[in-house]
Amino acid sequence: MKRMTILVTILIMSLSLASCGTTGSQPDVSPGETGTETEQPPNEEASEQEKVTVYYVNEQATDLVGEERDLEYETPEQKYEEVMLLLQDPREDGHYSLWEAFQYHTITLQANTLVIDASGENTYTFGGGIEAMAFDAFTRTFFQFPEVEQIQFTVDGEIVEAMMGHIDTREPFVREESR
Amino acid sequence: MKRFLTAVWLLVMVFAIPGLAGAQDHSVSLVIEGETVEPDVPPLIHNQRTLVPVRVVAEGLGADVDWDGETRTATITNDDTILKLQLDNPVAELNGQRVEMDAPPMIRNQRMLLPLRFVGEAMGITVGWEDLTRTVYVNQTYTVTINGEDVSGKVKIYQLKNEPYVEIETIAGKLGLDTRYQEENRMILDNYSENWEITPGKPLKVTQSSETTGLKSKKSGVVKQIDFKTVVPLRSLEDLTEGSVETDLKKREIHIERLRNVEGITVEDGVTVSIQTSAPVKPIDFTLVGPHRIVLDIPASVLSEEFLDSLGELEELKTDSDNSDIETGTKEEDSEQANDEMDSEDPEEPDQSEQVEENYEGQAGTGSTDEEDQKPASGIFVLPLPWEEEGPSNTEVKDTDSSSEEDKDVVDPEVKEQGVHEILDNLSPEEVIEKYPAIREIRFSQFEESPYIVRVVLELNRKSNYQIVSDENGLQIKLDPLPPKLGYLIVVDAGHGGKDPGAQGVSGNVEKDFNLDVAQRLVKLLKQYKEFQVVATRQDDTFLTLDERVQIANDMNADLFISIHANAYRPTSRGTETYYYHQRSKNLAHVIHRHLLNATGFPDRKVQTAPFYVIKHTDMPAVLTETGFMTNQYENQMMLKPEFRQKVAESLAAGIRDYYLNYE
Repeated sequence: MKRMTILVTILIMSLSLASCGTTGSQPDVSPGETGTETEQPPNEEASEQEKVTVYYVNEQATDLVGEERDLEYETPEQKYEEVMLLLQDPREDGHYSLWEAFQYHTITLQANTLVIDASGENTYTFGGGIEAMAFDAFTRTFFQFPEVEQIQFTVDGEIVEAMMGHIDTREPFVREESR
Repeated sequence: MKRFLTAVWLLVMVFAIPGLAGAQDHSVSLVIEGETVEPDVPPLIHNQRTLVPVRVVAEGLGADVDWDGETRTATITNDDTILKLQLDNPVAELNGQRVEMDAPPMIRNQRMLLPLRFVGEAMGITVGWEDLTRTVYVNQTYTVTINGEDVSGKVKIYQLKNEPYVEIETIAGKLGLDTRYQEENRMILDNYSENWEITPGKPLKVTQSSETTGLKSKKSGVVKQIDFKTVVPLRSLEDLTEGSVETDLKKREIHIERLRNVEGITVEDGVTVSIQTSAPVKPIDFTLVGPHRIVLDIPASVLSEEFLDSLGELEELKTDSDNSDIETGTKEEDSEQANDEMDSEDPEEPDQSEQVEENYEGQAGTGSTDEEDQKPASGIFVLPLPWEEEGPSNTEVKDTDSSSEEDKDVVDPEVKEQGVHEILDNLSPEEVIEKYPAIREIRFSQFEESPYIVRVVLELNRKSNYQIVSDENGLQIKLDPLPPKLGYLIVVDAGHGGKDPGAQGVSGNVEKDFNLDVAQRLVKLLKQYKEFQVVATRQDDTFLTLDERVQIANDMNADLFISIHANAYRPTSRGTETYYYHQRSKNLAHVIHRHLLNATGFPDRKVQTAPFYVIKHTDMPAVLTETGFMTNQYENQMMLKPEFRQKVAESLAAGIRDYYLNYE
């Protein structure tokens, strides 16, 4: 049932995504959600530009390291895809991405939950400790956006207990819990 | 008679004030240094502040006042203080700094009126407001010491018409006397031989006395309320505090002393400890874990010289302090470990099942107060325990103490535990309680000298309930050791398995095999203890979902969960780490990690938190260990060796045992 709901939501999202694409920079507001605010500052031009800190790991993957990067996108929906691209591509020496080879179908904001639907083809070769760092880097990066209050991973549209094998992805990451 | 008059007078006042209210709303009496002063322009109240003529300030407070008619500025000078106030300007200048006040200076009947409290307090003068009589008291500030600690300014002394009055609650608090309110204004002060009832407007009254002769007559006096705080006549202070009060009214000095001597500490039997004091005391107690400890702080007390002398050769734990216990300064690195419990509290919540004094909860919980004062004022003494005379365990413990280096823990639990091991393993639980003493060590120190506090720490071999009985001879701490928790259920989870190999080792080995081998070794080791029940999530190369592993532990209502893993990343990545998620697992993670790291000898990747499925969804203390990196040549090679796996398993068993003994 839950899986069904998500599939439906994703369907709706992709439809609304398409419609938004035609209307330019109109902010995405999910239907029927209360308290949803427009997550984009009003803008006149077609493209948005802002600074974002993207997190990677150091060589031993013992610490997160941040890079301030330019984030450019034309539609709100593109924003998170652009961040994903940045997350996979560190610029500085000694910074490593744990998401480099990560394949996903969609990354969308549904109400205040960022939903990342990963490809079932992914294989993860690192151990649990490194996996913990990967999720740390991901959540720290995306929780910068005030509109993102939760982060939910799915695999081919389904919720799984641990996408990478260790860290819980059955429940969404919640902003307060991000460490 | 006098009291009667006062009562009548108060009564008159009570009725008089409402009557006056219509006509003279702002009428205020002014008492400076005990004398009623009636300035030509009476004081008035504006914005709830009393304003008085400049002359009152000049003469009454003994300050110089210059008036500059052009800028309409009064400059008040007193010793090193210069205060400038401008008419109608709410911002004053105090020693060059701008200061805001509620009521600016104003003109009334051609006299400039100044805000009395503002000026007075800026000049270091005590100002008090008695609401009942609408009287402002103004006097030079007294020097007050309590057990040698300068509390001038914190404890206010008001010069009333006949005698000085003192704020009692702060004094009682500093002396460790109990005060509580029965009704809004009725305060009960317990000085451990008497209960005093202190109610503004009424005479002091003894309500309960431990003396058989009944209530003795006391120098009494009427309680007042100034600045909405309860004040009592200075002369009643000795009776109220049972201390000595030295007063020099000319020098305006008051020295209050009430110290109790701690004259001895004796171990009555395996479960009773007595602390002899020169008069009744009321300690503040709290508990700590890892190891289990009961900490007693005895306020306003000192270790008596006789007691210190009787200790004679008794070795202080502090290595480099000389024998002078008067000396307060101690060096930072003074036997760090030995002092640990004596001063720096583990940042854990005290155990809720044991009693924790309310007013001390913050300290026990956060250790914040102790962080401010990391070192006891004097050295820490270890009391010889009667049953340790021929036993080697005591010396063993001390050797460990002095030799272990960086480890935060006082005593390496591993070594300490060995003594416990042998005994516990061969005895029934009942015999354990009977033959193995509940008390591991008793330490005490002059913990603080300002204010004076003696701290006594009972370090226990196992968790105990306890009771503190206070009488005129001192204290008795009666322990009620809890039996070792039986049927302690440990779930050991070998990560991955079956179709899920886990990480790949550089030699073509896989994580699931390492995890299973270490888990099986650990299960075997843990099963040696009869109070442990051990369950493995998988005993062979089977695939289990993460949730199945969690359900095994949750369904059995396990007491502890440990998941064994190995890490993988880059060829150069190295190190051991231990994960927990819920706060309840934090102690376990730290204990396990210390043992595990010691066994692997790999780089320390520390204790970390992360929402691993198996430690997030289990309901009991749960940890996940990442032994080392299978992608690193060296670490993988080590992890392939049976001896290394055995060592890792042994360290995990020792960690679990350590946790069970010292935290559960």
